[in-house]
Amino acid sequence: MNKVLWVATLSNGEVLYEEKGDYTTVSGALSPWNKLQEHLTESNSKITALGLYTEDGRRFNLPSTETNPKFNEFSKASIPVSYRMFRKVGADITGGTVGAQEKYTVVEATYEDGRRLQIWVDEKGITSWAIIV
Amino acid sequence: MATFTWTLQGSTDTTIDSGDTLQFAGPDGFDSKITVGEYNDGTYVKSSSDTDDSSGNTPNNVKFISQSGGTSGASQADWGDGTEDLGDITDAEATLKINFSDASSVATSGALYYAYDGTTTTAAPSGVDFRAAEVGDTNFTEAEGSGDALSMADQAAATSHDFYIAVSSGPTSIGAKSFKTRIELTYA
Repeated sequence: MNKVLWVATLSNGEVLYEEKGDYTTVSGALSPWNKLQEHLTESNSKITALGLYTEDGRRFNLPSTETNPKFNEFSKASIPVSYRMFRKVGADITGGTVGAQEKYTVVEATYEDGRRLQIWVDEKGITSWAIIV
Repeated sequence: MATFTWTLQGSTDTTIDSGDTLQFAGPDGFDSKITVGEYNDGTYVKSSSDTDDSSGNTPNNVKFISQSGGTSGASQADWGDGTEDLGDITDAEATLKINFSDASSVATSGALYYAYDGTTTTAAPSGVDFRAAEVGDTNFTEAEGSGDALSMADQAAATSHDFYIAVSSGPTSIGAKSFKTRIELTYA
């Protein structure tokens, strides 16, 4: 079970959480994120905000497309045109150990000019990085 | 849970476990030296107690012969039947099988495989020539440091993904060499 999970707000008003409701991990079935992609197609909706959360209350949010920010800086910020989530895993092999693999959950916002803002959160949900690629 | 399992293929596969080392060796078998400028005649799994875990498993070995001397500029290697074009190697003949599995069905993308100095992933191993290719590639990649990594094909959604990789290595200077190889991939 992943400990760092996605939360997505959709253009139809739904707020969906990984490992809740229809988006729980079922062995052998499509991943929750892939189920979300199917739902977006079926409901003709799109993601308007995306973030990561942990069960103990941590939250890591990308800039959203919503228009009612509480602070002026957010209202002036560029608005993403799309979002995605992925997990990145790496492991040393020669001389490495099975337990030494590192895993990060990443949410990404893409902007009109093609730049992408990524938030990487480590497997324990404690450390995060933001990068622009 | 996302899990890697890496094996040295052979008549029986040898799992590379915690603390094991993948050993490239010379013509005299396990623990034998490779001459400078030559490439591995044997590939083995060395345990943390310095024994040959792959003994009895007839481990696969892929020996680099040339980068572009084959048909239409293909790389050449010897994986037991003499010199052949790299593109002719099969999954079962590759050196490594790296399996990535997850409880749910996930697609993989952007998979990379490379050798590095063991400390800094962007740094090439010192005094070593390291070549790698995914089965289906026609040419080796000199996969030394993350910037020169072997790129592997994206795989459609499944709970289990196998990556078959031919690897060959040899020293470019005198002395024992130690380095790490690494796989990275994206999944969702």
